[in-house]
Amino acid sequence: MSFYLRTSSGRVPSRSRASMRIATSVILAGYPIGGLIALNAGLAGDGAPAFITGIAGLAVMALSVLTFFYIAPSYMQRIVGEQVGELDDLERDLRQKAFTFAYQVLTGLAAAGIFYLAVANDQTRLTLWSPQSYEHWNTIFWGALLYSFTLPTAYLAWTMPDLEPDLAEDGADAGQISKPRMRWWFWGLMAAGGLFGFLLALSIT
Amino acid sequence: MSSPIHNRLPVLRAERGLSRKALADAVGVNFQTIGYLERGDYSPSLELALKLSEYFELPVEMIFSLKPFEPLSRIATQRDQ
Repeated sequence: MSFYLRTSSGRVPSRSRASMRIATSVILAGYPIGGLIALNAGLAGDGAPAFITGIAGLAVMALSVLTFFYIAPSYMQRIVGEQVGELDDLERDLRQKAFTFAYQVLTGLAAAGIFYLAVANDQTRLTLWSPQSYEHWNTIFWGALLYSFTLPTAYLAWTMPDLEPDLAEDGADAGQISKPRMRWWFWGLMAAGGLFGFLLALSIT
Repeated sequence: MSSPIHNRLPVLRAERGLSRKALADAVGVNFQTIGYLERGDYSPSLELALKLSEYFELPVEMIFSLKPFEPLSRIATQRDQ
């Protein structure tokens, strides 16, 4: 699963490989670090120290999420997030490689996480921290989503050759890519699903 | 690991005075794909190779090769001799 932000003009903003590497690293490292700081703010003490630590953690997480919006309209994010029919065969090939890499990493992380939870919940052996509150699971959910959006792009950022010389040679209009038509049926289905879920939750409670 | 595929795309493009963008539009790919092909960073699919062959009106083996192409100056010299 990935996400690509089309600009209103259909133009793909130029992002250098170095900036994409820095941005994806900030996202992938920043979110878990910020989450750990925010969720463990209580360890800093009571009152102001805990509050300041919590805010600092949230700020790091916010930086990570905002950095995602820097990469969201990029050419690399287009490769992993655009409709397949809009990509050429090189882009489809790169997308497949990026998704394969992301799948390996995400399944590895999921397996490690489940193993950790199993050990952490075994009261007879070790007493380890495990997520319990909504706050904990909410942080994990958004982190998993951010990782699934960013990992394929991070792979491309670290493996694709730099594109800048080509861009300069072929002129400023070279980055223009036609915008595909809006998939109204897809967004309609999403909205209907959301409404159905909301009504279901309302009827249960 | 697959062996690199050499190509004559830069020469053919220069001969016809085409930009990467113009060639890319003609064969229905992104202009950056042409850049990657020319630099040897990417091997084309059979479909793309055939499209390029059709566009330049040349056999595929005159555009792509598993061995490095001989420089045109050497070919010309050999022909003169």
